[in-house]
Formats: sequence, structure tokens, C-alpha cells
Amino acid sequence: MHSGLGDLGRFSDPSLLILSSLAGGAKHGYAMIEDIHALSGVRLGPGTLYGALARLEERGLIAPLATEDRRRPYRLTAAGAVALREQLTMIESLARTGLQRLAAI
Amino acid sequence: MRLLLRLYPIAWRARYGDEFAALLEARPMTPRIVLDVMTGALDARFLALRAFGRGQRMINKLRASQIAVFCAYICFVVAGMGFQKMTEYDDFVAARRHTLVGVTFDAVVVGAVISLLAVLAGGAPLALAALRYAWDHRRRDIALLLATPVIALAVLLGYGAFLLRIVNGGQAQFVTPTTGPTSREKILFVVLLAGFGLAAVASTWAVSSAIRRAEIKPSLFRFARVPALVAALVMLAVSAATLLWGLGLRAADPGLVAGNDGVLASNTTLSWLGIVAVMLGASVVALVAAARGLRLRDGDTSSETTYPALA
Repeated sequence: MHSGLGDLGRFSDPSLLILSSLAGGAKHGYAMIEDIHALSGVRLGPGTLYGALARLEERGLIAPLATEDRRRPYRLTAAGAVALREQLTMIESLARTGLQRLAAI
Repeated sequence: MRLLLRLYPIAWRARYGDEFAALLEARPMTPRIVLDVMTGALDARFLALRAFGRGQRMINKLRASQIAVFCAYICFVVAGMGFQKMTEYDDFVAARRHTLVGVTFDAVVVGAVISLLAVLAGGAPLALAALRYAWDHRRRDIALLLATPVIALAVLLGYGAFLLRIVNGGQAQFVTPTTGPTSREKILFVVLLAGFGLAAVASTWAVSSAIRRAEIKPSLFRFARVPALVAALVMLAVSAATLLWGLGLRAADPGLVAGNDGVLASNTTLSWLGIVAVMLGASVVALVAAARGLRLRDGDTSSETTYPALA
């Protein structure tokens, strides 16, 4: 089984957004789209969302819960929380370095 | 929207179809969303299938093997009912005093009970889980499918009672006829048999469909593998016992076997061979299906996520 978000190709960005959204609690697809839009200004399409969800689920980073009126919520797993933390730490480090370099210009 | 969903592979729809359709219904369909869904379908078909496909396919195979065992068992039961009907006549009862005939007949009865218990042990939790799913999710279609055997039985019993009254001239107790059956009675009886066959096929299909449509924990299917194998092995043993019963009867009372005391007053030997053939065929199908279910490794079906077989 793969782990982390490194090999998700064009789904790595939506995956990061999804994991960030689920870090705030379990959500179904529509709630995720709205939450991600509020978080980042990005509105994921249904096809993109489920392409990423399938990969995240296969990697054990998220887990489905019981359906509620045809809508299935997903939750962040422990492995998902680790992967998200790693990814956000890397982004934070990249942002810090980039800002430092910009300040030197 | 259905056309868009059909772009996705069956295995994908089996896993995500329902929730994906709910998501599409919740948002206005714009050209951008249509394009996104079409791109997602291409991705699911060519790239993402492997991301979820294996585990789900294994669970689908496991479910299919259990359903195949169940269908084979119903065929076996129908043949067994023919055997029971044939052997209830006094001459066949008397023939049980011969050792081989008596022992094999008892083996058939014991085997029938064991196979029934095995099928109930594996199948009842699945049927109850499907019923619970139908109740929790207000799925009338699944509830109706599960109710089909009960409805079919009620209709058959009602028709049987009606037939009894027609044949006996209004008496509830069966009266031995002094004359042969009339043409109308023959037609009514043939309708009863056809109705029985139809009820068996419809009930089997309905229960199988309900199991396919409901979200049932894979652990219940994994548990059912052993009872399914036990049922299949016992079915095979009962088939062999039925074959030996006929051979024993041929040796003990050749005149009885040569008569026309078979199912629907047909030739006894042909009835017996027909019953054995159906029993053996059903047993082999059940055994192959049960073995396929057992060959699936636990790791392939270890997900506890519950999915329907098809969206």
C-alpha cells in the first residue's frame, strides 16, 4: 500500500485540500466541496473530488462511514493525519524559505 | 445524469455510484461539472480502477459464490421434494426394511436436515443484515424482494386450499377419490405445479437480488464460507445416498422400480435418475462455488466497509 501524497499526480493538490477539510471533522462530498471552497477558494468538481477520495481511501488515509440518506461521510484516519502533518510541515518550511528569500530581494 | 454515471466502470459505480449520484443531484449541472465528471470517468476507467478495484472485486466474488451456493441449494431442495413425494407411497415405505434402502433413505433425511442447518447458519445472518439495511435506509425495493418468498408461500397455500376444496367437494380433509381426476382438476393441479416452480425461481432471484443490493459487512460473507462448504459437501453426500437408494431398491424390489410410481405418475426409474441428476448437478455447482469462495484470501476481502454489489 502507498502512503503519503507524493505519488498522487494531479490529485495531490485536491487530496491535500480534502485531508485538510477532514481534519476539521467527518464530512460527505457536498460538505467537503463547500468547506474546501471556504478554506481555499477552490471549488472541486465531483469527478476530481471522487478521483482523489478513491486514492486516499485506497491508501488508508481516509475511511468511509455509514451512509446517511445516500450521502457517505468520510473521516481522517491516523495515517491520514500523519500524512497531512508531513505535507503541511513541508509547505510551511517551503513558505518560510520562500518568504525569507523574497525579503532579501 | 444517469448517462454520465454510466461512463464510470461497474466496479466504481458499485462502490461510489449512490453517493456520487447524490452529490450530482445536490448541485446544478453546469458544462464545467459535466466536463469534470467525464474526466473523472476516464480517470476511473484507465487509472483509478486499481486504487479500489481489487478489494471490491474480491468481495463481489465472495458474494457471488455465496449466492451461487444458495441458488444451487434451492434446486437441490426442489429435487429433494420430488424424492420425498415419490417415496411417501406405502410400497416405498415398506421397501425400507431392506438394509441398503433403509440406511440410504435415513442418510438422505439426516443430510437434508444438516444441509438446511448449514444454509441457515450462513444465510440467515445475511438475510437479516439485508433486512436491517432495508429498514434503516427505507429501501422498499429490498424489503419487497425479501418479502417475496413469504408472499409466494402465502399465494401457494391459498391456491392449495382452494384446490383441495375443489377436488374434495368442499371438504377440508383430503378424501381418497373414487374416480379419476377430471380435466379441470388436472389443469388446476398443473397450475399448482407451475406456480410452485415459478414461486421457487422468483423467491430465489428475489433473495439473491436483495443480498446484492444491500450493504452487508464482508465479515458476514467470510463467515458464510464454511457453512456453504459444509452444505455443498452434505448435498453431494445426499446425492450419492439417493443414487444408492435407487440401486438398493432395484436389487430388493425390481418390480417396484419398473412401475410408474415416480413424480407425476411417471416411470419410477426415470424419476429417480432425474432427481439424482438434478441433485448431483446442484451439488457440483455448490461445491465449485463454495471452493471459489474459500480460495479468496482473507487479505483480499478484509475491508469492513459495506458496499452494495451494484449501484
